[in-house]
Amino acid sequence: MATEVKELKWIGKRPIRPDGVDKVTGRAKFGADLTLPGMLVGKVLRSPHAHARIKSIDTTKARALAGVKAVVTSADLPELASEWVPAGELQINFRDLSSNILARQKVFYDGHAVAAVAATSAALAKQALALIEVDYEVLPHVIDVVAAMQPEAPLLHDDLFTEGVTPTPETPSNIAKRVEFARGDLEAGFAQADAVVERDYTTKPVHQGYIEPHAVVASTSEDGQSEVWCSTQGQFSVRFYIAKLLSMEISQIRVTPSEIGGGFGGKTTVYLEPLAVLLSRQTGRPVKMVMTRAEVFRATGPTSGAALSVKIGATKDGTVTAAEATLRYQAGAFPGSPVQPGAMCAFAPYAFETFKVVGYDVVVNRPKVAAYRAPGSPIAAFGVESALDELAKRLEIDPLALREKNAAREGTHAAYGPRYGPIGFVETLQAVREHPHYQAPLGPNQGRGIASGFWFNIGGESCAMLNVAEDGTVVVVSGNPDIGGSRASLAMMAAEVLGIDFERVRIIVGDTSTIGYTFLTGGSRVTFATGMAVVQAAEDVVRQLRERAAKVWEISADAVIWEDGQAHPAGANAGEFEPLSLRDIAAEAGKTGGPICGNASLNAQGAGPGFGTHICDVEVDKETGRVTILRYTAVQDAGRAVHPSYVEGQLQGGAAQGIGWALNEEYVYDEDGRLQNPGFLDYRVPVASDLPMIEAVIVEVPNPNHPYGVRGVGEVPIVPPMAAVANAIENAIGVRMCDLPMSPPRLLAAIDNGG
Amino acid sequence: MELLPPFELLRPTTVEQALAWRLENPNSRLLGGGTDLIVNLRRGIGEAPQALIDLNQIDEMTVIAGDGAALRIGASVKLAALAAHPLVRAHYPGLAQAAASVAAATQRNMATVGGNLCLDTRCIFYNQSEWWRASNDYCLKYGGSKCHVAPKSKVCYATFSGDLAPALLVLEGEVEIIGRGGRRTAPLAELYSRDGRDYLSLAREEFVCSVTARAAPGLRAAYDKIRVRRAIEFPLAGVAVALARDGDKLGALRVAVTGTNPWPVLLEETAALCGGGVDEALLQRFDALLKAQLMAMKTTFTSGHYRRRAATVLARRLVRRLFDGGYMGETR
Repeated sequence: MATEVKELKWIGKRPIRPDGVDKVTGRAKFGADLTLPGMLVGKVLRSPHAHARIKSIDTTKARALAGVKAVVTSADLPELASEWVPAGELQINFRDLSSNILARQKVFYDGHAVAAVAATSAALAKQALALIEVDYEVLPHVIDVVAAMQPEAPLLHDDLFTEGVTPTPETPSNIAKRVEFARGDLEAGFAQADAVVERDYTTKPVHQGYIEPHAVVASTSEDGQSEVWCSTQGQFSVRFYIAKLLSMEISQIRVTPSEIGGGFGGKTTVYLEPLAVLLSRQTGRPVKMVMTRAEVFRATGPTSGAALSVKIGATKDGTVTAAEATLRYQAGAFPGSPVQPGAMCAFAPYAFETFKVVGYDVVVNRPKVAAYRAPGSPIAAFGVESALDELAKRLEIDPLALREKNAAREGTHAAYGPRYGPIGFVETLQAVREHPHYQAPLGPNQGRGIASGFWFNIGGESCAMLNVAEDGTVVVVSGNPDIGGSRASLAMMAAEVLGIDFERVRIIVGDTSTIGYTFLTGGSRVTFATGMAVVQAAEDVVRQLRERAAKVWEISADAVIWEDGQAHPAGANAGEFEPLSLRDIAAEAGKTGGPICGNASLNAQGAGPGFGTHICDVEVDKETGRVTILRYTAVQDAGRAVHPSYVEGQLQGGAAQGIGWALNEEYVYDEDGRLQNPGFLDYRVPVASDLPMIEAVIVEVPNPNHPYGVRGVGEVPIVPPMAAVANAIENAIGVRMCDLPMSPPRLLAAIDNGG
Repeated sequence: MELLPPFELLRPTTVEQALAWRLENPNSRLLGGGTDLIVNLRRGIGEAPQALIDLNQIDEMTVIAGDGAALRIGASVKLAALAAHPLVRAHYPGLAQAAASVAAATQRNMATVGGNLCLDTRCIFYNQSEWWRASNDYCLKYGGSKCHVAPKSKVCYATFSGDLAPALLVLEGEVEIIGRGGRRTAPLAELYSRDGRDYLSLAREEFVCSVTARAAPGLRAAYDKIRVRRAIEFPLAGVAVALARDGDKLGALRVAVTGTNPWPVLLEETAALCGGGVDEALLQRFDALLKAQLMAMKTTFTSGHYRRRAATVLARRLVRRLFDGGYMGETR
């Protein structure tokens, strides 16, 4: 599949992104921007309780209010059987998804949707919500993952029996699943070690923090056809979920993705979309629904909070002889935390011969977790990379050298199963060693930490279409909402294959009816998988262009080559005819066989695993516990950076989110299980003043399975920061922080306790 | 975003007109920059007002005037303008620092001096959406009968968080107030009651028209604050210090703190600390004063104890640095 190496015209350059101007001028249309004639406003009534039985819901008064056109509850949704399907990097169970969208029998968390209304104005919809009478029987609740695992814990689901243990337990519990990955004799491994580090760690659930709240407009006509406009990472997933949840035929639904104001995995599922369709179906009018920020925090995302135990042993020379981890992840109200990928990633960067990882998926009275950038991996890495740092100190080995000694390379049998092909982990470590940052001097109360991270990256199903216009410009249609600059990278690949200027390629994101099925934007897959589809569709266009030129010249298509955007006669005919440009051929397309249109559909295999290593410098104010990030460098193997600026942007963005996770982000629940800080003022994502310029260093070890060597890059950079910050704090003041977030009061308390 | 309730917007161009409209509309609210008020209105905090009276079109309220000895600032002056004003930067650096440290640039472009001085007190149990407060039976500050911070309390502990008040308190700030009886002036400290619910001592129709500050030769003043995030954040604690040296002795000391109590605290009994050098023994007596006068109630997500302790750290650092004449930067 790999094309021969030749001079590239666009790959690796930095043209201005096609969606840039609309975004900086405010012209871009986001989820809440569409308004249709006769449109109603939909709103959701949410549970004020963390755990309660719904004894009754009386909607009579709400329905009687003038201007209220529909009120729906779970009784309006079909009951579905338990069925798991892949959704991005996680799995979705439709029965649970339905119960999450509108609660049946019980509410499982503060903010759980109970009913929805559609009214002629937002004020009326709000009034209507207040008129819905819900009679709750409040039940004991459980928020903490370790507490939820205890036999006496309040039980969320009485039909949940732990999977993955034999025999299957006879009593239900909050432990939905146990997973295990192991190799070798653990006891013998630890016996060989000269030093063993064993620690418990905790991480807090954190929200994806996208700026744009969930928003949708749905319009259903009398013949049952629905149109949906929404902010999503996957219009085809939304279409499928709506079809399943409302028992509709897929072809009856057309979903158009709006411009998206951030997703980070959190917009790979649905909350409002099926409700908007349902309300629109009942009223015969378009319905718009937009979440408030408080609703986003109470009822969407986040990723799991977790309790981890990690134990790693090594000999004096730094060779790890055994490693063990137990991961307990909160799933939220329904099973499905990212503990399985977390367990697979825990030791993935290393060539450990003996290890065991056990993971538990645990339900608690919090919102159901959603995917968040490298789901599961950052949590496991916080423990493993912190323990490795401590081990290095114990052995008096440079933490970088310890990682080099044990690093996975091409041919290493990965802890999660396969053998690695060409990977760039060692190259990231080498780049760190050679970077001036790694040797820069530090002042008092300042410290440096490093940490590494891994993510699989995925491929999957994609379609692409290239239409050549009459003037020789080209329109590319992709099926992936653009959340990271993928329009630029896809258009660059098309321009590269066609040999034309980037400016002559326009790219749009198609709706579910204008382009073939394309799996969602997630798993760092778009530039890899959809990129491959675009390359193939462009090659399809080139083939047609050669045929058209051959027809004009009346020679065989095999005797035409395509170079620099022109058809040239080759072989025996070389030099016989003037070259024909794309513009020339496009102008005559009608006479040579009709419009030129290239297509590709594929299921991309062989996504290149991604590795990164970060360097973080901090300064600690020992009297207030405040941590200042002084300098930060993120190094990552990108395979091949198609548009280096957007690869750098991914590295910076992932690091920024990781720093927030490390230092300040947390949900505060009161004793009744009610979220106290559902807003950006008190849920503290970092702002620009909290971060230094994050330097991004791109290492390129090409992925042989992509025509230009691309690996996914979007997720790896959120994996290392938590441990990098913790390791830097330890290095600065000798205090080992094992619990996130490392906020000023917590760090001050740890300093008071002597670490 | 929550829906903004309907209201009439009134835009007086003189203080007399503003007062007249205020008297005509008992259920009105005063609009400065709206950076806090509008958020609260959207959340249904306080009764939905019939009218908002916008004080930004009154010329005399938008002026900064004075010299190196005295300063008068109109209540409608924007915080960004105050922070950037050459006179303020040159002679009242602590005030400029306080103004420059409020929230973030976007808020400072809108927010006003009067709005910051009269900023509503804040609490976990108050600055929440309608559904949240409803499901928690509201609270003593608005709509309920119980203080969730101190369940037996008859007073509200919601915390004052304005940054300008402490900086002006240590400069002997006075406010000019417009009311039924015309204009009156009062020491800034008297603007505040000591109850988090009715936190201002103003009559129903009264409003602040301007505020003054005084500088004296040899007086050194500075403001520092600590916050979890370095922008778009209320202070966990903010401290203003003004001091003068008398040779190698502390000649005068005034200290004010925001972010801990329902009012900005002008520390009492600081005169007793003057007359000697600034050493550890003095700083320990200083700590004791702060500890006795600053509250440590759980009104924010950061514990009261931490905020009081952080305030003490900042106060000590400011006193030391001002006494030594060192550079005044914000604590990182």
